Amino acid sequence: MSRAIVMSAIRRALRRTSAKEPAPTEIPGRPQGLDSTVERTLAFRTRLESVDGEVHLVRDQDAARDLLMELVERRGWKDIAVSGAPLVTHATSNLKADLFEGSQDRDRLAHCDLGITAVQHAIAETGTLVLFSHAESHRLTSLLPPVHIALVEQSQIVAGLGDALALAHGADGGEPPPLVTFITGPSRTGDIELTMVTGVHGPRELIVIVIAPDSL
Amino acid sequence: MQVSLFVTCLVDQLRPEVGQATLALLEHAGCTVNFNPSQTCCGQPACNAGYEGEAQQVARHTMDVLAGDDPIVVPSGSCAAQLKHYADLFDAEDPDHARAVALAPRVHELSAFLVDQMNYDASGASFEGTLTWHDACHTLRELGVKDQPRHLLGQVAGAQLVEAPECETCCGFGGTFAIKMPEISVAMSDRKLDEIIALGVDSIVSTDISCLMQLGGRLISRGSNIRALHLAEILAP
Amino acid sequence: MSKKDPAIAELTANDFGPASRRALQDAPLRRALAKATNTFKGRREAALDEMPDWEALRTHGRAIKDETLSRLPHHLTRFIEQATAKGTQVHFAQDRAEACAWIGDLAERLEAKTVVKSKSMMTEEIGLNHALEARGLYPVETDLGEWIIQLAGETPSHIIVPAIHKSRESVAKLFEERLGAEPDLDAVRLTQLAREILRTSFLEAELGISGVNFAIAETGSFLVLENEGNARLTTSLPRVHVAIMGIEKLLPRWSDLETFLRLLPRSGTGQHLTSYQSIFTGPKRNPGDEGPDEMHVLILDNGRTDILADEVTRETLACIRCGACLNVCPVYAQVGGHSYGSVYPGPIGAILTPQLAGADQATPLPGASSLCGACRDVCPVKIDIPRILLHQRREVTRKLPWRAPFERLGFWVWARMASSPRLWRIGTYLIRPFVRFAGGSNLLSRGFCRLIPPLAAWSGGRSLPTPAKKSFRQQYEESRP
Repeated sequence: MSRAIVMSAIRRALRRTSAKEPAPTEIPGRPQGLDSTVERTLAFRTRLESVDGEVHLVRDQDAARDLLMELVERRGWKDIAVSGAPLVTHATSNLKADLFEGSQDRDRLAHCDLGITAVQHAIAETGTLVLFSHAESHRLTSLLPPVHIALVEQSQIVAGLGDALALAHGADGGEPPPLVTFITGPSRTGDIELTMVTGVHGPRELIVIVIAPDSL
Repeated sequence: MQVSLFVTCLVDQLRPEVGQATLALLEHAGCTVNFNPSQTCCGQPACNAGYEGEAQQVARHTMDVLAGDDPIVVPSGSCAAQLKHYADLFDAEDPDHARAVALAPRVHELSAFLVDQMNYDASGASFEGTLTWHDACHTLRELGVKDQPRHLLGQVAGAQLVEAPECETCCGFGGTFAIKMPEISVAMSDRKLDEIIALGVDSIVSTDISCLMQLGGRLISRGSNIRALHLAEILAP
Repeated sequence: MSKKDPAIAELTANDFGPASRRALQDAPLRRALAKATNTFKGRREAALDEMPDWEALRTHGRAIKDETLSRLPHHLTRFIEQATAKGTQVHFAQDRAEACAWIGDLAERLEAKTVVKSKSMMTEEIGLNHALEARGLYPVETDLGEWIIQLAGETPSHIIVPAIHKSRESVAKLFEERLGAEPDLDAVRLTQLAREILRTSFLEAELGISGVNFAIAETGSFLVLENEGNARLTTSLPRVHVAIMGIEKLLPRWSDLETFLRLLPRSGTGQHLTSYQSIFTGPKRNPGDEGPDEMHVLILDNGRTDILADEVTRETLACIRCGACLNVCPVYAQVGGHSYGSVYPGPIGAILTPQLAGADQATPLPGASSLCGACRDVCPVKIDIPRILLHQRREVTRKLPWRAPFERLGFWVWARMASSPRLWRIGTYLIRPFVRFAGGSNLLSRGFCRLIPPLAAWSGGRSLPTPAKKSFRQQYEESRP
């Protein structure tokens, strides 16, 4: 009922208005010069570090596994949620900690030490991780624990927002997946006197391990 | 070059010396200045207060007074912007709309006219002291005039320009706003003046007599001896 | 809509005068405002320094908005089709009463004991919290600033930072009184405490309510943008997610998000991108998936079709609620958000509030500006706010002609003078001595000055200018006979 009333009010409001031309397809503000994998990797790192993300570049999957083990031991993380992505499974294969599938136990997830996910893409322009809900159960594992570690393959880093959006548009059988999440740095707030505090609702720390054979 | 001077009502009534300085400047620049004494006010007060009919009436009169082809020079960015925007007051079918459209390109703010049209050299003028420039809102945002007055001041012997970081912030005048919401208006002036007083300059200079009236009036109330001067007074040969 | 129930909840915009004068006396508030507006201004400028195509971006963003508004029925219909196909339930409400009733009914159907909310100007506009409280439901605001405001029983004073007016000390005191926190906690400890308390609400909530930054007609999707993660929690943990949006939030294409993701964070907070964007396209598809079982989008008119119908002011609907105009407005910087008596303060509030609620409900707001134009310069979609303010001032004098009879009479007389050289000459000749006299420092002068309202208003904080003995025209005529 209200739908019909609102729609007809809109039509009435526009009865003397002719349709405007679609906006130009040329989109301004796109990043320049991120043509090579190495350039994209370094730009991604610079941007993410500028918003308090911690970025590690490693040579291969085994090096990622070793670095993860070292971080877990050093930080004393015991209870660790994982997303189930193959990259995560490999990287956590010899961790001395309790691992669990984050999407299966939200109460444990809310009290665990760390969440580990992979990503589907990353954006050099903004230092952003891009995750699709149909590809990986990232929704809560990247959000509830106090620390989020993401594993990124260098080849997943695209130049700009437009590239990532285009990939997301048809990612789930030609449609967007139910949820596309962009993550750029840890959870933050400036709501009290503009004092920047991280970890208000989501992770206090975002650590990204980039498997980057081409940059080293 | 023949030019027509629109001196503005505030200069006419409150600061005729600014009008004299403008006249002298234009003549020194080689212009033959025509001043039509039938001119009154640009009509901006009524326009900004929402009295459209009154604004139209005054605009028609001003267009009559300024008829011709000569460039019109205005020692106020705000009034110049009002003259340039007369077309907004009339429906597109109204003959006065066409007159307003024809008027707009003839209108020039003083500093922009001197620099852009006359390539004026102000090195003949001299001024002892430090000064800061106030970018009047309409001069800056409606007319896009920012570099010209600075260029001219840079040529004046002895004048030392000290830029205020908030040089583009409104002085708080805003026409009838200054009278309808006087407390806010004064608080806005104070924000600028606190900064300018801290700069330690001798004078605030602008090209809008209304801003100068606001800032100058507040300076006197605050017991400051910083002077609020019009650009023409500094440049006058 | 009746006068008793304007389209904006808790509207007190007609009190702008007294409210702004109170704000001017509030020194801590003005310190907080100066700090916040200067900080945001600086961050925005720094972010723009790294974006050479800014003007082209603004033009592009505006072109998309104009295109959308001009074919709104088409895009809305497409959005409904696409969203429905993806399992999202789309609903409409004509006004805030209907919207609040619909959400209340939904919460009752779900037997929701806990409702969590992420930041949404639309829910502020419709007064959702109070409407739900009247039905015994207590929605929990989860954006830190909004939660602080809710605990304090206040309203937001800024579109982006709702608690901009509160100092760290006052928040610490509030947490001490309301939550039994230790006294005088710092911002980090206060934030931690909020995290712990709100976590419980998130995990218990049956219903999550969010706003919408952009909705996509092409795919039936919508995007929510934030920094804290509370919107992600609000839309991920509860069984049911309701997103509320005005009819103007639509964009035609998925690819249009690119331009707005470059425009909005830079304008609002000076960030290249906020910490999180979530783009939703329907509820979960399989029982084992994460995310809500049910997803609803509630689309509101609440006065917007009237704005759309007015070609002069239609561009108001292009607003993306970035708050940049607040941060550069010299009036807002002095009086703060609460003075405007509307959930939409500052320059955008001054034009939006009277349009949504009616000119008679917000008469002072179009006048609460010096027309300096700083807002127009920063607007990411190039809304010509000063032009609309002028239009609204004309509307006020047209629709409420006797609101200020002396002013009207004054302008009538003035216009007759200013269009007759003879009257002007005589009039100014006669007035000048009075103004000169009023500007004097003796008692008689000051008494006289107080009797003439414009002179009294001017001389409250400013010395009256002294008219010259001879006007420019007199001098000119005497020197050039």
